[in-house]
Order: sequence, then C-alpha cells, then structure tokens
Amino acid sequence: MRNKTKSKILITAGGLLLAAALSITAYNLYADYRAGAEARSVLDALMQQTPHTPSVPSVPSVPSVPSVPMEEPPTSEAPQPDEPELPDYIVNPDMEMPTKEIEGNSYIGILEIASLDLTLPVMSEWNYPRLKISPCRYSGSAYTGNLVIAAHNYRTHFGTLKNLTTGTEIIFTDVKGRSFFYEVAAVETLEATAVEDMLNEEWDLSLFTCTVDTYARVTVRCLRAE
Amino acid sequence: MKVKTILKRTVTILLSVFIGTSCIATAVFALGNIDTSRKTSLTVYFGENGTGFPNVDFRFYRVANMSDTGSFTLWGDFHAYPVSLENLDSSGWRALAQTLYAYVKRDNLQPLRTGKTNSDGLISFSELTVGLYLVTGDMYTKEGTTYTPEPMLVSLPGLTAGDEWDYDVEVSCKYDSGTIPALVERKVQKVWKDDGNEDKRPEAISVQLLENGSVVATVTLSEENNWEYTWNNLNGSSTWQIAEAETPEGYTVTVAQEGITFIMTNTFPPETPPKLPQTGMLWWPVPLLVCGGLLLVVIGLFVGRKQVDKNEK
Repeated sequence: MRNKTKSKILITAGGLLLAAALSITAYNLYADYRAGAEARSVLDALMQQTPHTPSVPSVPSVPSVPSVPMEEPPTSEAPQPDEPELPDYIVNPDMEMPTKEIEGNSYIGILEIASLDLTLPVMSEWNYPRLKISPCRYSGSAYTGNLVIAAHNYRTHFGTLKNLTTGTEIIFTDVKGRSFFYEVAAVETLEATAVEDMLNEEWDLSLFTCTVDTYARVTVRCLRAE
Repeated sequence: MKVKTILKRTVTILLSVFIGTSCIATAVFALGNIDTSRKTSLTVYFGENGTGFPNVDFRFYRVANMSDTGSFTLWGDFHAYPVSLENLDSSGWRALAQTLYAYVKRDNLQPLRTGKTNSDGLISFSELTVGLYLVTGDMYTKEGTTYTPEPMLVSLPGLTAGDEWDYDVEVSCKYDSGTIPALVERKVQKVWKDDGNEDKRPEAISVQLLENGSVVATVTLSEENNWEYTWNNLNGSSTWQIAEAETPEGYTVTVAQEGITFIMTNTFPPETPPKLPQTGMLWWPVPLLVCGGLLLVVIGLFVGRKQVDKNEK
C-alpha cells in the first residue's frame, strides 16, 4: 500500500515536470510566433513609408576636417556655401540616423538576410519590451560604419544567425531608402560581459543574439561590400 | 647599451608622432612641468602667401586655467558654459573654438586684450598668464575677396615638436576666403553621443540662429524633424552662427561648421553597461524538466509494478 502511494506521487510529480516543460515550450513558440507577426506588421508599414533610392555600394568617403589652426599653415580654401550638398550622411557621418515612427516606436531601417529568408525592421533604441517586437540598434550607426544590432533568438528574428557563413550578403536599408551592403566576415561567440569586444569598431556591422543556454552571444561580424 | 639607445630613440619618435597628431590635449605628456608663474607671449600672423593683412582687429579671450601638468579648467566668463576640454582631437578643438566664439558673440563677452595687425599682418601680446586662449579676428577684404579668420584656441605655453614647452608662441591664423554671395543657406544637424544614456536625452531642444552675434531666430529640433533644420535666404554679408539655447543637464555641447552645415553635438559621459542585453528565450529548463519528469514517471511505474507483483504473490 505504501509503495502504491509512492508510485502515485512519483508519477504525479513527473507529470507536473512534463507539463511545465510543455508550458515553457508552448510559451516560447507563442512568443516566437507573436514576435514574427509583430515584426512583419511593422515591416509592411515601414516598407510603405520607405522610398526606394539607388543603393550605396561602397564606403562613403568622409571629407577630412582641417586640424587646429595653430598647427596648420594658412590655407585659402574658398567657402562653397551654395554648391549642391553631398548626401547629408557623407558630409556628417555622425548625424543621427533618421527614423520613422510606427505604433509608437522609432525605426532606423530594414535588415535583409536573404540566405536565412529574413527581412526585419530595426528599431532605433533597444530595451526589453522593444526586443520582443523587432531587432534593435544596440549601438553605432550605418553611416559611421559601426552599427551593432541585437535581437532575440526567436526563430523569426535572429535564432538562425549561427547558420550564417562568411561571404553571405546582408543588406541594411535606412528609412530614406539608402541601402548599405555587407558581407559576413566572421561568426564568433562572445561572453555576455564582452561589451567592449562587441563595440569593436573594426566591423562595419555586427549582429548578435543569445546562445541557446543564454550565457553567451552569437555574434556575426560584417564588413562593407565594395 | 646599443639596444638601450635604439629603444630610447624609438620611444622618442613614437612620442613625437603621437604629440604631433594629438594637438593641445597631449600637453600632459610633455617632459617637465609647466612653470605656471612665468609670463607668456603670443604672436598671430594673418596673411596670404607671405603678404600680411594689415589693420585687422583681433580679440583675445582667456578661456581656461592651465595646470603645471597641462590640464585645463574653464575660467572667468567661460566657466559656466557646458563644454568639455577633455579628450579632444584636433577637430574637437576646432569645434570647441567655434562653439565658444558663438557664446562670446551671443553673450557679448568682453575680450582680455584687443589689437590690430601691423603692416606685416602680425599682432603680438606679451605678459600673458599661462592658460588657454580664444583668438578671434575680423574679416579682411582685398580686391573683392574676403578673408575670414577662423576662431582658434591656443594654449600658452604651447608644445613644440621637440617636446618642450614654448612660452613665446607664434601661430598662423587659418581662414576662409572667397566672394560674398547675396543670399546663403545654413543648416543645423543635431548629433547625440550618449550611448547607454538615451533616456536622459530630452524630447526636443532649442537652437538659436545668430546674425552677427544677435539671436534672430530660434527653432526646435526633435525626432519629428529628424533633429535638423535649414534656414534659407539669409543675408550673405552677415556672419551666421548657432548656439544651443539650453544644454540638457549632464551633457556638453560643441558646434562645428562644415560648409553650410552646423553640426551640433551633445555628449553625455559614456557609461558602459556591464552586460550585453539578454536576448535568449528560456529553453534550457525544457530538457531538464522533460528528463526529470520522464525519470519520475518511469520510477513511479516501476514502483507501482513492484507493488502489483508483491500483491499477486
């Protein structure tokens, strides 16, 4: 009789654990599905608002800034106040990336990874609620060539990032319709505390998401394609 | 001994290159401390191809004190301005000079010294205390061409290429030249350098447009206008500058002019977050729960089966 009770308790406890596993799985799949749906909805709105302009295939040349007068011989550069301006992001790569607001959130552009069949909007600033909707800019800018984008490891976001191989093309298009082309140069895993490594400006574009155990970050490093 | 000499020379060369490219901020690396009680002098040359521009008004403002190790602290009328004198490269010093010049004009600050260039385009001041000085000059016109001196910041003493403090500094004034158009356009673009502190950023800021030092317009920049604004049809013969009406708390500001564009940068001291964002779903408990659950069920079945066998016996 005692063994029968023991058996019932063990089976019940086991059933509870299996139910918990099932609940977590269901929640994750739902979160994944919902994140994909939210991103698609934003993407549709963003694409409608983003003009199509010629792409930007190479690194913009940034005009050099003259150094401090006391170290420089005098020059006689004529000011050209009324000549046609270069694109604003080339004149001033430090400028804020323009944004479009959709459902109360600001977006800086669209990320496209054809080999993973991913096209996702990118939010201007990250926080945890925003990461549940779309990838977010963690740091930097496409104009200064140090853009870092973070996203959840939902299958519909960056969950398949680890499958990327070197040479894969990635395109980022800003909200003015200017496309920046990149190639995957490396895929690495960084510790969760490796903030400085993540912000390494050697790379023009970095994408990252958590590993399955959540302790590290799968990081895809990209360089501008010529 | 030979190795030691090579090492010494290599270090000297590297240090010289570093100092040469890092402008005033590298003053702290100079050999020997500054004698802050010693008087200094400054000579400015304003001219083109060896021909000096005579009779041009120049103004000298003392911006900051300089310590014996070469670090600066804002001084006098300038002490309350929200600018940073730290970690600046050459373009940073240039932008700072333009920023302070706009404040000088807007707030009508009085110069420490004034004077006119002589027939050789030279102007000199002596008996100056150690510090950081802002030098500004008037426009000079010759044969239909105007020469507009750029404001500049000069540290006294200055650092020579030979890594020594020079208490009698001579500088050439950089300038823009050309003809004056009837109408001009000016644009302002806001840049935020506050990674990790975006929540401290205000939703909007006010920018003042200055015509010859007087505020003639104020615009609001925000995400709505992508933090930029353009003024059209401005009088080409006026001097146009911009200033931030009120700098957000905790931020510093610089304004650099590139062509017709003023780049107004607000910087918040960086604060590196300790960890990268947590971007993972909670998958790791699932295999543990499944294994644990199955194990318990199997054991439970086994124990139950054992009980049945026992009862049958």
